[in-house]
Amino acid sequence: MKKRTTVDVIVQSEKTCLYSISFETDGTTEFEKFVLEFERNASYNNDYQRIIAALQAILRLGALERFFRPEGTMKDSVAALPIESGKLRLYCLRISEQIVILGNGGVKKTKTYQEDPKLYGYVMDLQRFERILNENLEKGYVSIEQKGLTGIDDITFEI
Amino acid sequence: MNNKQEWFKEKMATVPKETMTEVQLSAEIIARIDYILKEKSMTQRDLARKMGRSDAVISRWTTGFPNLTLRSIAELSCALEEPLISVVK
Repeated sequence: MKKRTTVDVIVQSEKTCLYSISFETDGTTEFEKFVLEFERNASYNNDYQRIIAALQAILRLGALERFFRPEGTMKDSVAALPIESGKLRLYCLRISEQIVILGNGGVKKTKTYQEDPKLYGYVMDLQRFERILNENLEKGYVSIEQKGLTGIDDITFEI
Repeated sequence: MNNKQEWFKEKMATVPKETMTEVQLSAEIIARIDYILKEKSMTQRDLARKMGRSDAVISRWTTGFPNLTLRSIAELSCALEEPLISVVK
């Protein structure tokens, strides 16, 4: 079944804009769901805090390619934020040094994310979203500007 | 500032200052390595060869937000022939 998807700005700095996707009618984004699930989880609190700190560093320095670990396929921009010796993963699309779209994430307990249906689902959501985003970029409905994505607020994507 | 931006600021405020500072320092070192590699037209593999280290180790040291030791910072700095950090005097 296709999911109705909208995109919201989470936070913006001079260097970077962090977006997240939402499948919910109330507008709760995938990144907010990630935070709600892990901010009070004692087992992964250190990982969670390091991920939030990493996002803050990205806001200050820009979304350098070197900050991300590619996680999807050669054809997509899906990446994870690699934190020191951590098991918690936050998946995202690194579109450029100025634009990052945050997805959901979870604890990596298997060797690859493909072996975990939940994590695989989060990665697939981002892969599907990127395909639709690229179609909208090609059609000119959305454009990538210096400071972020233009036209994205008015569109509901079906992924 | 919109609601989500306010919400994110609240979440950032819950992270201990020490963690914020550590990850920020790590990110600044990685950004500096990135800048030097580009300036010198060096790849990560070139760096690994110069250091006599495996690609996997250099990847771990030069991507993401690693908790580098002074020893690894010194090794990287020597191989890159550039300072990576300085201490306030």
